Amino acid sequence: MAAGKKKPEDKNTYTLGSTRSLRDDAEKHLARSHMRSSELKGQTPEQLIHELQMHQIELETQAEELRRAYLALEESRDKFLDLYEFAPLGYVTLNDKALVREANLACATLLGIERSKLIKAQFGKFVAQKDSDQWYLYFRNALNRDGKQICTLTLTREDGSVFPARLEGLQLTGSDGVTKVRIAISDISDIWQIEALKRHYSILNGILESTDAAILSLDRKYRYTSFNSHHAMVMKQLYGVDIEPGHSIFDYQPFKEEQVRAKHNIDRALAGEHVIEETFSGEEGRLRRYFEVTHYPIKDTGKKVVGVAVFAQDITDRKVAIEAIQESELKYRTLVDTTGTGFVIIDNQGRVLDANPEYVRLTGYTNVKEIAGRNVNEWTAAYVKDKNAEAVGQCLRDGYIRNLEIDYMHASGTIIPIEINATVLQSGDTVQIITLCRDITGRKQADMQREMFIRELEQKNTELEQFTYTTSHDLKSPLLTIKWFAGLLEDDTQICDPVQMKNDAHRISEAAETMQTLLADLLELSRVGKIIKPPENTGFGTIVKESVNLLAGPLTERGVTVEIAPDLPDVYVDPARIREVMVNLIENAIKFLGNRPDPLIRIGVDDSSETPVFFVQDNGIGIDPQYLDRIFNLFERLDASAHGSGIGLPIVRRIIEVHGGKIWAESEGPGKGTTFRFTLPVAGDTPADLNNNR
Amino acid sequence: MVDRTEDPLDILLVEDNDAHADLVIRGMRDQQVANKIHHVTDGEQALDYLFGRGAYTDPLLNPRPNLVLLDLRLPRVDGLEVIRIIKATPSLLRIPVVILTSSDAESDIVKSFDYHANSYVVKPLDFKTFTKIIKDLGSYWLGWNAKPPGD
Repeated sequence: MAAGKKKPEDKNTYTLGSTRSLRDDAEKHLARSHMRSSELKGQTPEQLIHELQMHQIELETQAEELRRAYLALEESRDKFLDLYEFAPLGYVTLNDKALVREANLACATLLGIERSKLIKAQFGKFVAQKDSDQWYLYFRNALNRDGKQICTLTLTREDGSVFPARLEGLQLTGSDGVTKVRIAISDISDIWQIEALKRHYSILNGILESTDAAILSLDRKYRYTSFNSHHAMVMKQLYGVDIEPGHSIFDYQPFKEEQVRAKHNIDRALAGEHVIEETFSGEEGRLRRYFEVTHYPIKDTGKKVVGVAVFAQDITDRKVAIEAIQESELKYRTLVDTTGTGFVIIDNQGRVLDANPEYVRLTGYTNVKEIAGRNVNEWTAAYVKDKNAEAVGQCLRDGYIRNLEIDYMHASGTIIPIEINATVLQSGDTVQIITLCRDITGRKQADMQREMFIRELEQKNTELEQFTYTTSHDLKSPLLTIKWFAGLLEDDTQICDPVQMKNDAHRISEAAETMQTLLADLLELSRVGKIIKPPENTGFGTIVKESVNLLAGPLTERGVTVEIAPDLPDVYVDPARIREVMVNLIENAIKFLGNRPDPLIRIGVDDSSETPVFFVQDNGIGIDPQYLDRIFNLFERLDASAHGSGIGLPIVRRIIEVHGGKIWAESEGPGKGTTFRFTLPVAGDTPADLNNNR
Repeated sequence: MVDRTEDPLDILLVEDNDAHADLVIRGMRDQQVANKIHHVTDGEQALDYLFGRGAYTDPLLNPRPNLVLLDLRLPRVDGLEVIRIIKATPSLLRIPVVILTSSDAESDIVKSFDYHANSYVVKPLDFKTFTKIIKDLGSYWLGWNAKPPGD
């Protein structure tokens, strides 16, 4: 701005040197112009004087004007000098080597250096290192190009601090003909700050606008001071309103209930509280949205609450998701709680963290609180504790356990067999074992029952084989006898031996009788197998008395004493069948009493054990203990000469067995008597399912 | 051909059916080889006889048999058990034991031979065949079959 005024300033400075030198210059000038002096020769002195006086006045007038102009210039120059020196801009003049020729005070102040030190300094040293290339280019342009050159770069003060500067440089050629550059420097820190603030603002605004949270601020009278577009959009969606700053938020909210709630929260924030609340807007159903609303009090510098900032985050999706999870959790929980499988979560030490009701039942307790924190070993049966502890270890090693069978034992002593399937669940450092326990009592019982049935079936099968074998053999024997003696008879007729013939005929008839007996017995046995009338409660004593009466003949004949125990219990049986048993056993006893002079048969019961054991005891010939097992076999006779077909005891066993009882014989040996012992369902017992025992 | 001058050979007949025993005894009576039949009616008696115990301690009355005719289905101790014991007893195992039974059950035949029965004969239905079998048994086991030394 002052560049154009440089020339007159220079001249003034020159002229101001002294008045004397002006006079000298004039003299010299006059002396050199001889021709002009000769031109004056044709004039009169008066004319000349007059001319001279005129010139003198002109000159004086001019001199006065010049003096005035000079003063005006001087004044103006001082003004500019002040401007130059004290301008907010720093001015610096650099020579073509970028050395500082001149600088104003402002420049020195900007660079934080004394002006004297600034002069002759290389300006480049005030440019921040990072901008040195830019500076170099800029300076070259400023030096070589016409017109104003502008750039911004960072300058370094003497103390090392930096500031952003705007440089406006202009090339100029001095009176000495050297090209120089004058640069006006302005500190643009403030501008930068403002721009940085603007950037921040736009970022913040971007954030505020791009978030899916509604953000707004209100003054103490609930009037909007600001809001983001999301909030505007939500208000539009929910209430169909276009909100504007300056209006109360309650001008827009149509639902009274919501207003009351919102106002309450805003009032709390206005009272200085930080309020977070979950709420909802809009009608129930699809339009309803849920929000987590945060209210912050806005305070001025004096800590006075001047308004409220409200952040409303739409949590509908989250809420729906959480509700879905909760619902699904509830579903699973219900499933787990109602399932017939025991479910327990234990830690790596075997302590219960959680369990479902079925598991609690398996442990013998009633509430999960009773077992929480306790070790599962506490209700594991003692004989499988080691196995269980080992299984927990194995599960932790392998990550799972499959189909482990152990027993739980209740405090009451009840044993429950369970099958365990477990999986390790590791989350972070926590190890949990998810364990499913199935009560396999039913299966165990079914297994046992099945095995029992199989054994029974195998036994029956063997019996049947034995039966077929025995039957065919025993029926074949008399058949052979008949055939052979019939053959003999034919021979006998030729030799006409009537004695022999009679004998042979007798043999045939005997064999036929044997066969008849056998067939009758077989029929009887098969009939026994297809028992029976429904069982009924009957006094065992009554059955015994009836049986003894039926055998009164043989008993009296042999002179047998029969002792019947008093108070025999009631039994739950088919009385006719059990009478048959008793008759058979008593008959058997009579048969094997031998020649004892004091034959005795005792009938009674031993009820010292849980199941009463009935007995028929004789003091007869006894049985070698090694044959005790065989006497119940079909057609078994211990003595070839003994009467009977050997079917009595098999029938007895059969009847006892179909009643669910057992029979066995005891004897200390030959001559020591025999005792038959057997069990029967006692009246009041759970009736044996007789049909199942066929 | 009947050599009545020789000491009769002893046969132990183990048979619980009297009628059958009667016919076997009759059949043997007609043998060419002199023989004496000792009849017992159950397995226990058979073993007592062979071991010379119980009622059979007198070796003159109850000599060691040259042949055992053994029925299988017997009271007390059955025939299979009797042969098992005979053949498991070093002093008895060389006595020829012929199973004479009405059973043609495979298991009986197999078990008998497993217990080292010397022969297994099923009682035939036909009387003439039966007579012939008894005759043949006598001539074979008492005649042609070599007697173990020392017996």
